[in-house]
Amino acid sequence: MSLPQLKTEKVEIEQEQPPTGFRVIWRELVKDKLALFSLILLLALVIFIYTYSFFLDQEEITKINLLNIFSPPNAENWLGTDYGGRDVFGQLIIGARNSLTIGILITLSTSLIGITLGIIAGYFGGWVDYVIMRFVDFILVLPTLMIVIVFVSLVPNYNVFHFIFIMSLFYWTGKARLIRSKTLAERELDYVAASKTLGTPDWKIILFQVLPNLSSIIIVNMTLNLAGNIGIETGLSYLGFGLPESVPSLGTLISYSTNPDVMQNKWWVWLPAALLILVLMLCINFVGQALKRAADARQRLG
Amino acid sequence: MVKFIIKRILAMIPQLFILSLLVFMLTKAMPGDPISASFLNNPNLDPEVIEELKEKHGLNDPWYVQYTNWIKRLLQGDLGVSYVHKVKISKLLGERFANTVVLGAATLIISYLIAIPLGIIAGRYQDSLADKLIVGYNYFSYAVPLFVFALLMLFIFGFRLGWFPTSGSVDPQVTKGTLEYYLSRLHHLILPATTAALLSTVGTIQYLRSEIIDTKYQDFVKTARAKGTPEKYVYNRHILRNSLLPIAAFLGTDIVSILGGSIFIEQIFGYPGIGQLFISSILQRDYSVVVVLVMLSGFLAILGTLLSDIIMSIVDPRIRIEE
Amino acid sequence: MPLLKVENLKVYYPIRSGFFRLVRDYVKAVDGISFEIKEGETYGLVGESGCGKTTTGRTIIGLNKATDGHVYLNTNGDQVDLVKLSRKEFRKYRQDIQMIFQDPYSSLNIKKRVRDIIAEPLRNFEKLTPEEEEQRVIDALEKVGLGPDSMYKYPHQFSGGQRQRIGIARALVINPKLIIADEPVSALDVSVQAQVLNFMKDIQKEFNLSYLFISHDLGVVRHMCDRIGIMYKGRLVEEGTAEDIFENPQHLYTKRLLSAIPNINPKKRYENQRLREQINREFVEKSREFFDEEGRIYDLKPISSTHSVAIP
Repeated sequence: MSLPQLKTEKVEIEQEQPPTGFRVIWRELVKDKLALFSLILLLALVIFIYTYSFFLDQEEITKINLLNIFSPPNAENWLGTDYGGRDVFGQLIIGARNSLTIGILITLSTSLIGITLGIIAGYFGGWVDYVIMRFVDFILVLPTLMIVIVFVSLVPNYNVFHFIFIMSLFYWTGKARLIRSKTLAERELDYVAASKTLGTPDWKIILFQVLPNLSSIIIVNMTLNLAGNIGIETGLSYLGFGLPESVPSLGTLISYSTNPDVMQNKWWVWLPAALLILVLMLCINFVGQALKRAADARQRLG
Repeated sequence: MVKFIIKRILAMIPQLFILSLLVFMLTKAMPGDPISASFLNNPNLDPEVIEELKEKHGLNDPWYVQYTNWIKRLLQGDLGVSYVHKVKISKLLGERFANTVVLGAATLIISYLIAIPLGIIAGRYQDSLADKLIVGYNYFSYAVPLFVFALLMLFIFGFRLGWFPTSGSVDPQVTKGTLEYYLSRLHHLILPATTAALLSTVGTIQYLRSEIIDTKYQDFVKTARAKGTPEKYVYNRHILRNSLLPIAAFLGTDIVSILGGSIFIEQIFGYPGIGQLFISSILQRDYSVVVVLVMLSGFLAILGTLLSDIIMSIVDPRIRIEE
Repeated sequence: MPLLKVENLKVYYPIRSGFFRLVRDYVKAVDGISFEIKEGETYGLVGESGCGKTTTGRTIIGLNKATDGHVYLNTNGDQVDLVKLSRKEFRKYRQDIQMIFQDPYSSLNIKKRVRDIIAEPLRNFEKLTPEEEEQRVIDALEKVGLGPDSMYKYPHQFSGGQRQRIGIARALVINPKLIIADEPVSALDVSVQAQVLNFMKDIQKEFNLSYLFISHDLGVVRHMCDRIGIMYKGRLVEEGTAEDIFENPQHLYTKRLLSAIPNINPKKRYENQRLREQINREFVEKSREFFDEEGRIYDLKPISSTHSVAIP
């Protein structure tokens, strides 16, 4: 073999990727114009929200200014002011940042619980699986929303971490079920048996052999979950049982609409927040659905 | 069949037991007890008397004695007393529960009225413009949070256009029992029920669409077509009959999700049902009512899944064999 | 002393039913079989699908749990009963027994590069520097006839035969004494089968390996095996050298199995068909002589120094 030939082979080697990897997902995203548009809009929004909120002074924004109550949108207050004369636009940005951050944190913590328990149940099977799944079944039939609200109202010195904790207690079950069923299928494949005969310990097989094969499902599920969790958080904040007052959420802004006068005549206070949630949800979901199609070979666009 | 249903009902018992235990623990975690609460506005009462009353009502008993007593009372239909309203909870619940049932039933009916035709159209004319619009609507209704959608509906149809009342379940000025009264109730019902229904169609549409697409390519349908059966007949006799039945099985889970959504819907549309009662009880720290509502919702949810499983086992015999 | 001695191995699966999931009955996948494998020997386990041959292989290597019996492994003069070991204790002996799987597509993790696949046992059993590890992987690949450039590729970039050779390289890399080959070529094209089989024979000579060769394909078994056990319904019906089995089959089931081998000579087609019909008739008529009242297969009885048959 001559030298130049060897070189071209090397280059080729570096570009090789595992199948069903991020490349396939990316290809699928680019093909789906709506999903691509959603992704770009979502990224733009997220970057704008986080950088802009970085320069905002929350104290300054939440300071009450009684001389400037409920002023409609104008040059200084782009989206007007609320009942305390506070700038709605600033609150919107800070609320969006908080809702996104908390949504991401809840998604991460529920994923950690759900994936761990799901993969353990699926991999080991037997009584381990039985116990975990009966527990999941039980949580699934609970009136989750009500119980979360009760918990939130009971906790003394309630703060953001309490909220994340309470949410994490109840919203991991769907993921555990999904991961379990995928692990059950994966476990039957011979590569797992091979790893066992090669003397690899179970925890290593779970982490380094099975988990990578579930990665695309996990990514899809986490994306869709993120949307769901932001929805639940803002909804609870709207009812007054979500984020504490010190951490305003998009739901907090929307909750001003409980007052019919605000709802009817001072729409600038709540409507932008409602629309922002709508846009965020739609974007995340469109991206998530495209990812889902990419992960499922049968549904790929090509 | 009967064996499966009995088995399934027996399996419900541990669920109910754990639910009741959890709810009971919640009760204990909640501040205040019935006796102290009843005399909250009476500071002159001797603490010793309160202690005596507590003893008499078994509040100093070990928790399992209290638990069994509580269960006994629940089974006898004694739900307890609201600390705040000073009335029996069963009385407080009555009308609101009926309201929620009416709202839920209306939501279910409207939801099926929308979902079944749309699912059939999408499945039959796969990849047509109509199908694409329906799939788009599905994505939308899956993505949008209920409370945001409800607020927008209320804002547009209640406040801006003024087509529907913005709160309550009936106009307080009409007399009960007249035609006017029922019309007013209906008028109050349409907007919240339609709003909830519009977002609860996803499952049914998706299921029907993919089921019809699957059935379309199965051999018995191909055979029917090959024999020259008219297209309309193929759909009505061969495809729909196979696809529509399992929809019934979603009934239970639909009830559960509509129940969960009722908290938002009732709160936003000011509709006096148990969802709204729950929120106001929490805000007023009326915990005896809260506990009953959690227990009731959990019970209905378990009943809903039971219903689903039983209908499913009638429709699809494979489920029964699995156990 | 044989390298591996299987004694009265049983693998039962409980059948549970009813509300309390009580054990009602057992599926006897493997029901008391015994055989030995000597060093450097290939022992063929043959039977129709579902006869328990794969379960036997997987139980020996610890993938399934034995209900009863013993699997003695000879390690440096000591006999260790693998059945009695916990998974942790078993680890020490894994280096001696390795497995080649039937399906070369699912037995390699699609997310891993060849290098990581082959290095997996090395990382478990030997502490090597990355350079040493790489050298060992290259050596192993070379043994199975693949170049070092394969190291950074993914399994899907190889053909079935190449994948199976990667599987073999993975089994070989820690120098085992016994390899359990579970239908190693049945998923491959016929043209590739001979290539992989001959290659397995070559490395056997080179490293003095023993094989437990599990297969349903009698042609392949004749080509590969020194001694053969015929399995039926979880038990051995006949055992002997390849010659014993193919030239002098004694058990009814063995005869039937052998008669099912297709003959490529078209002139003998009718003759073969008649033979098959005759044996089938015989199978029905004489089954009483070869199975006891419950339909169970008798224990093996020696009829020569190398040949045993399950007869009363």
